[in-house]
Amino acid sequence: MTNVLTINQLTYKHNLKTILNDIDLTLETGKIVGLLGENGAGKTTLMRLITGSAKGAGTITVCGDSVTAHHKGHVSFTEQLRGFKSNTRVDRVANFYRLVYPDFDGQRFEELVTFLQIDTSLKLGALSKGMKEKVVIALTLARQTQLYLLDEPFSGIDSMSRKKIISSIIKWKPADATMVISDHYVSEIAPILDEVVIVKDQTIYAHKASDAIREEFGIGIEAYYESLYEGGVSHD
Amino acid sequence: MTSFGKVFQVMSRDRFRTINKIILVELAVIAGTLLWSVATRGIQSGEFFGATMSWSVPALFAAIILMSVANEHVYTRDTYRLIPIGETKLYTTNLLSSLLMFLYFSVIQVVLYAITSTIDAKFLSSLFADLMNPHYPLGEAIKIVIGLELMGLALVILSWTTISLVHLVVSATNNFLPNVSRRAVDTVLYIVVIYLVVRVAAFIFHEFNNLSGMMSAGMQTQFIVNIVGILVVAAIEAVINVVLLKKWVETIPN
Amino acid sequence: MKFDDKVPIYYQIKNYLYHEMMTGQLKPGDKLPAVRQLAVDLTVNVNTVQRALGEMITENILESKRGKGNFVTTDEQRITQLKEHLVMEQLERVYEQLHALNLTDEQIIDSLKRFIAQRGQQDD
Repeated sequence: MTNVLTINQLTYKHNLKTILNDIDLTLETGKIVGLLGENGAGKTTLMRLITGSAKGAGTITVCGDSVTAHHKGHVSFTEQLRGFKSNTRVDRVANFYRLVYPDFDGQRFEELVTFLQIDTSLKLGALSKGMKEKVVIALTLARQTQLYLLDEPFSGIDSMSRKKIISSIIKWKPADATMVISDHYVSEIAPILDEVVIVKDQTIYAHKASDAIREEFGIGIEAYYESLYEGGVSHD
Repeated sequence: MTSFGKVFQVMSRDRFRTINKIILVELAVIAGTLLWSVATRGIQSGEFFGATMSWSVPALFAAIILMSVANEHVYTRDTYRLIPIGETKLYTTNLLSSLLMFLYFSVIQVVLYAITSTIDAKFLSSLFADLMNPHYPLGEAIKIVIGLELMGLALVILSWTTISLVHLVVSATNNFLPNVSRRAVDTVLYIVVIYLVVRVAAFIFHEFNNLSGMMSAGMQTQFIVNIVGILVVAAIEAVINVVLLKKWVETIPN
Repeated sequence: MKFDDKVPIYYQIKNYLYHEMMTGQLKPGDKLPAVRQLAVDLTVNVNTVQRALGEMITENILESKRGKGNFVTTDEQRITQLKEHLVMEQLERVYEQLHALNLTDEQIIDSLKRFIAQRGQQDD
């Protein structure tokens, strides 16, 4: 199996404060990976470093290419559409994506829109939090890339939207693509995760296969994650 | 990789709309002014052209400022920075988009001048007569206009690259300085910027005061050298901006 | 379907499919839904479904036909075996727990008989 992402000795400081310190991480192709950690642990930062939106020291290789500027074509990130005015209609945003991303698949987007029940004639400013997240997910998944980075796609949204988003992830993730989903609330997504990466103390505290955790410790992903924060499970 | 044309297209759409809004407001205000004149004392000779001329100045500043806002917007938003295109291309496309939209605005202004001056035929011919007589022949007058246009455009470009430079330097330093020294750096930068603005303003005044002198053969070369000088400074700033974008400038987090 | 987060998901998927087969929802020779569809129906990862199905294919419970999909085995004997195995697995658990309560084998059989009799009355 090949690796879609390799991170070597990555360090990131912001305002002289170390956020991530000397991180190594390798992700294989075709996986769904949960990126877990407390708020402010550096989950978003890690994703931003991969896309080049944040600048750190160290090497990040995506699909064998270590030039950060080249990552953009391989990575689809759930950006929050800050570049658009709030009176921009969803279908205009989709047109923007269609134009600037050669890998944007209009057909897939239409399917996602139907599945997630998005009204594309609405303006961005008129969307509820759940609906906005659905739009972001539809745009992100409509691109056919090797690496998807979903930054807290479930934060603050109702459970019906959450279920829909989870289903669309299973349905539309290309078989050979890897998807990283960050969250600080695990139980909802635990069944769909192949692996979990836990960010704690400025580093990758643990990186394990989900079923290995269940077999090895006889506990759930959530319990395992919580135990790391309480120092319950001895860890090597 | 995304093509230059497509990025240009998405960048220009909103700016085109912005420019059109400015023009609409400008036209509305001109119409309002003229109606007011009709209602109060009747239209005077040259008033069509005069109203258009005077309202096109604030419209011009609005266009420069709003295009600059659009420019800066791109550098810190993931919506643009995640587009698979190199920083150099992103930067030049961005600047070019603003510039072309600004040119579009200028062309509309010229058209407005042409229309209103035709209405005010009598007034304008007397104005031209004033302008050309007794010092310059018509050819010289056109040269002056073109020269001023070019100088104006060069200054607009320089102001955009300078604003970007300040914005990007602040954004870059903010990432790795602690909060206290951040404020210090910001203050220093603001002082530097104010100094630069004053210098540039002084330069512009100097140029315009010399307008008559400029037209003598010797000064014409000087005038062109000045334009080239402005563009060279702008180009240097642009290069620094691209390097800043590549190495240090981060986007606003989610 | 609701999963127990403490138990490996692939294992629970296998049990779910066994259950479908025992209750006749999936009959011998039936075609299983496509892997991705199963994943969507169960809200689990495609890879996990793949792993569960892979193990069931090695166990000869499922038959994979190239380009056509996965089918429940038509080998009746294998299905009977599986049923026996599942029953034994359940009984094993009950037996061990009752043993832990210091019941002898005879007592366990007696309790089981009494229990079934009582249940039969309740159901009437």
